[in-house]
Amino acid sequence: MTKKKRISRRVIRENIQLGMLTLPVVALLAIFSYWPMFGVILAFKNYKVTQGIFGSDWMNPLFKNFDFFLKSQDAFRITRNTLLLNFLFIFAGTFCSVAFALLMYEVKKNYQVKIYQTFSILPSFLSWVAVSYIVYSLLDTDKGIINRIIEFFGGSPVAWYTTASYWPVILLIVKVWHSVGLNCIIYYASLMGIDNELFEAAEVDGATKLQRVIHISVPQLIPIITMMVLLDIGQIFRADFGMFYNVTRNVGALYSTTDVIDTYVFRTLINQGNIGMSSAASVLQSVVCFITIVTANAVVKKISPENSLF
Amino acid sequence: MKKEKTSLIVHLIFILLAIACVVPFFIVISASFTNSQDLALYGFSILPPKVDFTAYAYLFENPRQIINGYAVTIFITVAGTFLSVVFMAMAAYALARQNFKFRKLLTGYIFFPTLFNGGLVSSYIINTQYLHLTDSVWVLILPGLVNVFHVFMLRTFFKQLPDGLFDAAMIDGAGEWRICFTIAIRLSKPVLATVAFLGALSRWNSWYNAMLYIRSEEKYPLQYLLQRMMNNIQELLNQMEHVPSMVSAADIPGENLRMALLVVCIGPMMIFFPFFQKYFTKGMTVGAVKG
Repeated sequence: MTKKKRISRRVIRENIQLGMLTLPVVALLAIFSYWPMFGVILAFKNYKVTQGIFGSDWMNPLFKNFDFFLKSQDAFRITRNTLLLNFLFIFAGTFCSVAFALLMYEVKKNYQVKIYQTFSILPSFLSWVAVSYIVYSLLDTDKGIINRIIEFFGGSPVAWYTTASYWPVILLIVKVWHSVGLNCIIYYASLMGIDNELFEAAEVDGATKLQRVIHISVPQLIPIITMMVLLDIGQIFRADFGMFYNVTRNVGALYSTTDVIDTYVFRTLINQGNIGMSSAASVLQSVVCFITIVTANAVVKKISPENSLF
Repeated sequence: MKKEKTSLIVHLIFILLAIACVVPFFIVISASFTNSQDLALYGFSILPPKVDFTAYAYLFENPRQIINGYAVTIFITVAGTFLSVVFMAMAAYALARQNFKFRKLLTGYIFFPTLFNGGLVSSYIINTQYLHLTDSVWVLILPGLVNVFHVFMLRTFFKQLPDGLFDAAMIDGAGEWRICFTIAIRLSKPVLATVAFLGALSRWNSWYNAMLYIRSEEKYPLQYLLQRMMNNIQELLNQMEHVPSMVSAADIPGENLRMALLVVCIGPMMIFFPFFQKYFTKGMTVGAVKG
C-alpha cells in the first residue's frame, strides 16, 4: 500500500515536470496559433477597433463579407491563379527534382556529387527579397541581361514587368531555380537506398542503362514521389507569399496572372484596410486548405500508411 | 556499378546547372562595381566594363542603416534560434517520454496548427490590437519560435535514445529536467544543429513580419531594408548625407548602389552558410512526423 502510494506520487511528480517542459511551446502556440483560430469569427463581424474582435457586432446577414468577396471579380481570379500556378509548380518542380536526382545518381564519384550539390543548393539560401534583385537584373527593360541578349540578336526588348502573360513561366523558372537543388536531395537520398546487386543482376541479364533506370531506379522513387505530390496538393490553396509579392515587385499590371489568395489578402488588409473582405478571403482559404490537407492525408494513408502525416 | 564511368552528358548538364545557379551572383556583383553612367549605357553584365567603387564608397560613408540592419538581424537570428531550439527540445523530450501521460493529447495540440490556421487577418489584428507588438523587435522573434515539424524531428531523435539511459538516471535520482538537459540534449547534437541551422537561415532571411509590424527605421532587419530599397532607392540616397569626396555629380549612384547594398547584406551569409550544407541536406531527409 505504502509502496504503491510512493510510486503514484513519483508518477505525478514526473508528469508535472514533463508538463512544465512543454509549457513554453504550449503557451506560444496558444497565443500565436490558437488565439488567431478563434479570431476567424472576424469574418462574420463588422469589426470596429474600439469594440475588439469579440465585442464587435455580428454581420447582418451573417455571411455578408463572404457574399461580398465571392461576388467580386477578384475571387475567381485569385483562386484560379493560386490553383493553376501551384499545380504547375508541383508537377514541373517534382519532374525537375526527380530528373536531377536520377542524373546525380549517375555521377559516381562522391566528391563530384558534393560539388554539384553545393552549387545547386546555393539559390536556396537566398530570401525571396534577394531573388527579386536577381530577377530584376535579368528582366529590367533597359538594363536587364535578357533584353540585352534579345537586342544583340536583333530582337526588340520586351517590357517584362508590364506583360502579365509571361509571368506564369517566369515564376515557374524562378521557383525551380530556387528550390531544385534542395528538393532533389530527397529523391537522391531515396535512390541511395537501392541495393547495388539489383543493378548488377540487371547488367548480367543484359539490361541497358535506360532500362535499368526505368525498371529499378524509377520504381524505387514512385512511393516517395506520390507522397510528396499528394502532400503538396494538400497545400495547393496556400501560395508562397514571399515569391509572388517580391519577385513580381507587386506590380499592378501583373495581377491578372500573378495575384494569388495570399497577396490579395495582404493587399486588401494592409493597403485598403478592408478587414471584412480580407478576413472573408483568408478564412475561406484556411477552411478549404484544412479540407484538402485532411483529404490528401487520407489518400496517402490508404496508399502507404507509413508515409501519411497523421 | 562503381567502375562504370559517368557519361559526359550528365556532367555537362550539371555544369550548366551550376552555371545557372552562380551566374546571377556575378551579374549582381558586377553591377555593384559598375559606375552609374556605364550602367545606364551598357546595362547589366557578367563583368563590369570598368571597375568602380562609387556605390561602395557611398555605403561605407553612410554605414548607419546597414550596421543597424545587421544588429537587428543578428539579434533576431541568435536570440530567436537559441530560444526556439531550447523550447522545442524541451517539449520534444517530454513528448518522447513513455511515462508522460499527456503525450498523445499534447502531440495533437502541437500538430493541429499545421492543419488549420486563423489566417493573416486575425493574427494581424491580435498582434497589433491585443498584444501591442507593433514596432517591437519581439514581433520578429516570438511568433516564429515554434516550428511544429522541427519539434517532431527532435522528438523522433530523442525516441531513438536507449531507454536504459533515462531509467538509470532516474534511479540515481535525477528529475526530468535534469535528464532532459544533461542527457537527452547533450546526446542529440547532430539533430539540434540541423534544427538550429534551418531556423537560423529562415530567421536571417525573414522580412515578412518586419513588413507587417515594424515602423521605425532603426528596427529594420537586413532583408526588410533590402525590400524597401528594391522599390525605392531614393529613400536610401536621401538618408545618405555624406557624399564621398571623390564622387562627381554625374556619378550619383542608382542601380549600382542597390546591387552593392544586396552584396553587403547577403555576401557574408552566402559565404558562411554553404559550409554547413550537410545540416540542410539532413533536414530535407529527416521527415518523420508521426509515432
